[in-house]
This record gives sequence, structure tokens and C-alpha cells, in this order.
Amino acid sequence: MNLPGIAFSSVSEFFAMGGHALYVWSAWGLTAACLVGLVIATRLSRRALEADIRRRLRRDASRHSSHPASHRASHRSSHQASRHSSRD
Amino acid sequence: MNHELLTALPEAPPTSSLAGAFKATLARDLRQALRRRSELINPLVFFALVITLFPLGISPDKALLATLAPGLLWVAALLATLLSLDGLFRQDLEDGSLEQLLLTPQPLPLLVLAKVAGHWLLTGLPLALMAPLLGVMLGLPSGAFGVLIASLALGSMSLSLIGAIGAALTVGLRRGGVLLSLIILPLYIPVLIFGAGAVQSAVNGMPSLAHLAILGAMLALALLLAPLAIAAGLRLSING
Amino acid sequence: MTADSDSPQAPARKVRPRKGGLWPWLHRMGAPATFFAASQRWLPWLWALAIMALVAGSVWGLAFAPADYQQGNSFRIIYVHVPAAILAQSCFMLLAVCALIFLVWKIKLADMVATAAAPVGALMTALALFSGSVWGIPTWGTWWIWDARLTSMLIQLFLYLGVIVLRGSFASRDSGSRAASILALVGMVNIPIIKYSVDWWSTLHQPATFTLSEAPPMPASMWIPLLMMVIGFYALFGALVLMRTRVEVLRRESRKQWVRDLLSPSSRARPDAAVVATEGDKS
Repeated sequence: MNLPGIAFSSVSEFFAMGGHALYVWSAWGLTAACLVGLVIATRLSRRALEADIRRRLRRDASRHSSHPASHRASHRSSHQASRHSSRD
Repeated sequence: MNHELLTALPEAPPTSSLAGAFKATLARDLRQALRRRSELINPLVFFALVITLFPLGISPDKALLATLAPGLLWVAALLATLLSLDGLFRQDLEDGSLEQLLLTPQPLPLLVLAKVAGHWLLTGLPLALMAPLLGVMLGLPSGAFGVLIASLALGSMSLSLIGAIGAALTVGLRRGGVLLSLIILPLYIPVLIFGAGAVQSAVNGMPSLAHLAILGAMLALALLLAPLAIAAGLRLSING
Repeated sequence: MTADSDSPQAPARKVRPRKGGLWPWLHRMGAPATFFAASQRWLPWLWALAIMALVAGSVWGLAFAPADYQQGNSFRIIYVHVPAAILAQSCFMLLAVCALIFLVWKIKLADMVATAAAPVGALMTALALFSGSVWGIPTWGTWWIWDARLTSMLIQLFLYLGVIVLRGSFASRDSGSRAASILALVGMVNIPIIKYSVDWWSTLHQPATFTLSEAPPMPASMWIPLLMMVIGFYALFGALVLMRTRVEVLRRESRKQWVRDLLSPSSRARPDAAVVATEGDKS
């Protein structure tokens, strides 16, 4: 590892951070972990929400086809389903 | 209680209705509070109790207590104010007079200012007047009593105004008490710093006029902006 | 992720011709459906910028920047601490701006952005606090010191928590939004006052201590990676808030026709319904 301008002469020295490894790596590590975690959590919540809405739409569609006259009933059920989905 | 507001407001002549409404609201609040005396002395008793706890918890050493006294007195007074805030609008919400306050033709921020003025007269001012007594118990030098009263009287006006914002926002919530302190305490910090700072510099024999001036500036800003926020908070708490 | 080829604003444009200028553009973006479609096109650019700046800044900051002559290698914490602290403050400003837009112009999208951004800002504040106190061990010898910046950062964390908790404690979403907006504005007015008073208090109680930020002027090899990290954090923050706002849009509009069209393949052949939905959103 002899790149020009690099501050460390070996990989182990890089990880040791001149004796401050614990502080440097914990600060960097926690920051990275939290930010990555937030990105993943956001993706997961979006997946869950989309699945929720899709499930509701499918249920609405199946009810609609089985009871073509009961428009109000299906509307009411979609209302309940969306209220359910907005809670989580 | 409802009829009181209804009869109180038309007392004012229609031309000077702004000052009249302010006075009527203030008078009604004072009358009502004086009728519930036990609630009135709650903050004062709390203030005295908390100050009693500190020597027991820390040490009865006079010199140590004297150095801590400015901060202790200010923190205890601040918490006593916070304690009284939860009831600022609750009673009026329950008996429906808050709704009527919103429906009056006078600007709501003005009426709200009258309510806050009533709150200060009944909590902030008594706390400030009582503080020297507790100061004696903590061994505060007597030269600092004047500044203690002045800083508490001035600062607690800001505390009432800022606290009323939180009270207005949380009055419709069932368990608003803890939330109220979470919202309000961070906003109290500047008042605490300069209020306790004023007393501290008086203890050290230094001029504390600059601190009082800054407390006054904070009060001016709070007087200007807080009534708007309180009014907005009350509107959303009532109208949902 | 659904492609925006079936996005509902395409037929809407035929009804309402596109006008130039910033205000008409902002007005169009105020409609959640339009924003949802447009933000999908912005996200890849933000992600690209964020990853490039963060990778370059990290490599440079961790490996190539010279060690500080006083603090040694522990100063490399600055490359996560300072960007997080800057973002923590910027995010509260964003909350206040969104609150103003929501309260004055009643644009719901502003409130959705505020809902999405508040937890990110709180996380940035917590990260700045953590990295600051970890940095405190090699510099001051203790985890915590009542340094002016750390103290105001702690108060700011409480302000964030207040806004988040207040929003969540109302039964109706609209009341929670308005309460959180009012509190965000009140907090924004207070933040400079808090900062000033804490600075004053701190200089009174502990003069001439070594402060984290008042480092001697840094050489370029130290501050260029810092600038990169700041840009990277801003881009990452933008991408995160956009992503979270999109989820919030979907959640709140889940009963609207455009969401149905977006998520159910069977009802795609109904462009007229989509027009009605978007026009309804704009009014």
C-alpha cells in the first residue's frame, strides 16, 4: 500500500487509526449502520404498504365481480381496508 | 361559567371593545381562579417542597447551598410554572367557555393574552414574591433578593407565554401532561439561563442589568409571537 | 417500483397545458400524484450523487487526509460528525419551511415532506451527538462535556422528539399535522435564541476549553473531503426524504384513483378516471 498521499503505511495501521480505532470506527460504523438501516426500513415499509393496497384492491375487485349490484358494500369495505392500512 | 363570559363581554362599550374584551377576560379568569383557592396555592406549595428537597438530597452545608441557590430557585420556579400550565385551558375546555372565546368577534390572540396575563398574575408573580423566603432558607445573600424577584417576575411572564403555546396544543389530548413538558422544557432553556444568570451575577456582586434586559427582550419577542401561536393551537384543539 | 409510463399526470397535461416558470411548476408539484411521478425521475440522480460523494469523501477522509497534528487520527470523526450536525440543523429549517407552506397555503404535500423528514432529522441529531461524544473521549477524556455545541444539539434532539411525538398523539391526522407545524415554527424561532444563550452560558462557565469546531484553519487535503461528505450527506438526506415522502404520499392517497391505477394492473385502461383524480387533487 504505497499510494502517494496516503496517510497510513499499512492496512493494519489504517485499521488501528493510531490508537484511536475504537472511537473513529464506532462513530463511522454507527453512522453508516443507521443511515443504511433507515434506507432499508423505508424500502420495507414501502413494500408492505404497496402489498397492503394491492391486497385491498384485489379484495375489492373480487367482491365487485361476485356481487355486481352491491357497489356500496364494496366501497365500504375498501374504506375499512384503507383505514387499516393507514394505521401501520 | 358560560353565562359569566356572556354577561362579562357585553359590559364593554362597543367602541373600545378591544380593551374591554381584554379586561373582561382577565377579570373573569381572576374571579374564577380565586374561587378555587386550593389550585391557586398548588404551584407555591410545590415550589417550597422542591426547595426543601434539595438540602435533604445534597447537603445542608450553607456555603454549598448558597452557590447552588440561584439555579435551584430558578429550576424549581420553572417546574412550578410548568405544573400549573396543564390546567390553563383545561377547565375552560370542559365547561365550553373556550369555544365561546373562539366565537367572539374580538381577535383571539388578544383574548388569549388576557388569559396568559391572568395565569402570570396568579402563578408567576406569587412565585417571584415567595422566592426570597426560600432564598433565605438556601442561604442566598440578601443583596440578591431584589434581582431574584425582578428576574423571576420578568422571566415567568415569558414562561407563561411560551408555556401557553404547549398548553393550547395539548389541551384536547387526554394525556397531555407529559407531552406538554417534552414540548415546552426545551423552549424554556434560554429564559432559565438568563434568569439564573441574573441572580448569579447579583450574588457575585456584579451588575445584572444586562441579563434583565435580555429577559425583557425575550419577553418582548414572546409577547409579539406567542399569542398568535397560542390562538392557532387553541383553534386546532377545539375544531379538531 | 412501477415505471412512470402509466403515471396519471400524462393525461392531465392534455387538459391543463404546461406553463413555464417556477411558480406554475411548484403548483403542479404540489399535487401528490404529480410529485409521485416526478420524484421517481429525481431519485436516481440523487442516489448517484450521494454514493459518489460519500465514497470519495470517505476514502479521502479516512485514508488520504493527513492526521491532525494535535488530535492524531481521532480527528477523522469530523467527517461524519460535522455533516450530521449540519444536516440536523438544515432539517429543522426544512420542517419549519414545510410547516409554513402547510399552514399558510394548505398544501398537504408540504406536510407529507415534514412527516417524512422529521425522523431523519432526529436521527442526524442523534448521530451528531453520538459522534461528538465519542470524539470527546480522546480530546477531553470524558464521554460528555457540557460543550455549547453538544448542549444545543441535545436540546435540538428534544425539539425533534417533541414535534414527532406531538404529531403522533392526535386522533385525527390533520390536527396532528397542524399541531406539529405550529410547534416546528415555534421551535425555529427559538433555535437561534437557544444557540445564543447556550453559547453565552458555556463561555461563562468554561472559558478557554478546546472546542471541536474552532480548529485551526484546515489544509485543503482535510477540508475538501469534508466538503464532499457534506455534499454526500445532503444528497443522501434528499434521497431519503424523497423516498419517505413517496411512501407517505402512497399511504395518505391510498384510496385515490391514481394509486389504484398505479398498483392494480386490471384497472389500467381507465385514463378518464385518472384525469378526474389528479384534477381533484390539485383543487
